[in-house]
Amino acid sequence: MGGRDGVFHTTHWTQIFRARTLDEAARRTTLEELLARYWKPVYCYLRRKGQDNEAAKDLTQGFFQEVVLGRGLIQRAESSKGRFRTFLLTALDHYVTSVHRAEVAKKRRPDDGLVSLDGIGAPNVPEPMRAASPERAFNHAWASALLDAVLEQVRAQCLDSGQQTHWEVFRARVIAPIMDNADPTPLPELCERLGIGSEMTASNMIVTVKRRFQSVLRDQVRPFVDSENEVDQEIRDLIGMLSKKGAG
Amino acid sequence: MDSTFELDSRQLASLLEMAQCTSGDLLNELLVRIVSLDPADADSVPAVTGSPGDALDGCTGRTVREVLLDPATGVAALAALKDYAKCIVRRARTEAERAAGTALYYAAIAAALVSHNERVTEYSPQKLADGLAGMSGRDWLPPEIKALLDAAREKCSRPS
Repeated sequence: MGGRDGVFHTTHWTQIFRARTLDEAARRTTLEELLARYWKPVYCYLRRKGQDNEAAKDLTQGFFQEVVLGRGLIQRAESSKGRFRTFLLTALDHYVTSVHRAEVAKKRRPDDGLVSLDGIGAPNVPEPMRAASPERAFNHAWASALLDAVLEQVRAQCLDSGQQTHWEVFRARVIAPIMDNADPTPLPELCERLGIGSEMTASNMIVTVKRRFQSVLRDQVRPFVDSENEVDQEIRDLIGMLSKKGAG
Repeated sequence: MDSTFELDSRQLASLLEMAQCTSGDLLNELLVRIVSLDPADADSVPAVTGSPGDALDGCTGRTVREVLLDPATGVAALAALKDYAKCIVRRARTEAERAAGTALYYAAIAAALVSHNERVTEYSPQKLADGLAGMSGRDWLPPEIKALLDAAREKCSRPS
């Protein structure tokens, strides 16, 4: 996962790997961070596999606790071939099978309770995924989680570098039209509202943030592929899967 | 920041597609950049090259395209633009970025040759002509940049 040259990218996945050796409190914190970021694709997959809300949440928590954190999924992923998403899904399938074999999903919950998903996000599968296949739901939620992380990081970077206006222009002209299915705010109107001197300046602001978006997206994808060349391919694959005709 | 969780697949794909830029897209982005010497600007000459870029002082506020295509742009400014492009190539993370930077690099060299009959490169005439020919053949070049490269290649081919 960190590349065949053995260089392990310093990402939260590295922190997860190291968390296996930390004390219980630190492991719990790591698990909370892990769940906050990655629970949706796993949860949506399980829901589309037929699990009800509570069972899907239990299995999601158990998967991250026992398999990702507990059994060193990252180590195994590093030595496997193929995409990490696929590896994760395969490991999840195996886990669900093993849980069903044991027939006691509830008994796997420690007495003091696993980290709760209730406070993290919406428990329901969003409407675009409700008729999708489990795999499609997983990939859809994976892409969504990826984009949420990218947009938040880009916004934060813009604010940190004193480029709030850059972010506002980019959001109004590029992001909002896609997310709201609406026409972009006219540039002259934006310039007047945000105090930008010229439309050319506003256009350059958009270009700057767009390139930051591209860079951050690549950084977010990189931990899940084996080489730099695969970063573009992973993005193309995600686009391809999302663009396929079918439910969702 | 609103979440993308409720978006449909088409909308998610559209957001991801922003990351896919062809060399032509990236070159156009370079050409519309406004020449800036403000180190706080991430795309400015100082930020990209690490040097003040004084030679481009008279070009600030204009787009890179305007600077390239203006016959009055000085040799020193075009050489600085060439160095700017070289730095872009050096820090490129994808083939598309590298190609776009290389196109700008050759365009700056071409502009100096066409406008001032000056060479701002250590390439031999033959190597320069070959490089210009190779770049000019890319179908993603804007027509005015292709014309500039072809005019420069023509000059390389003439006996000096």
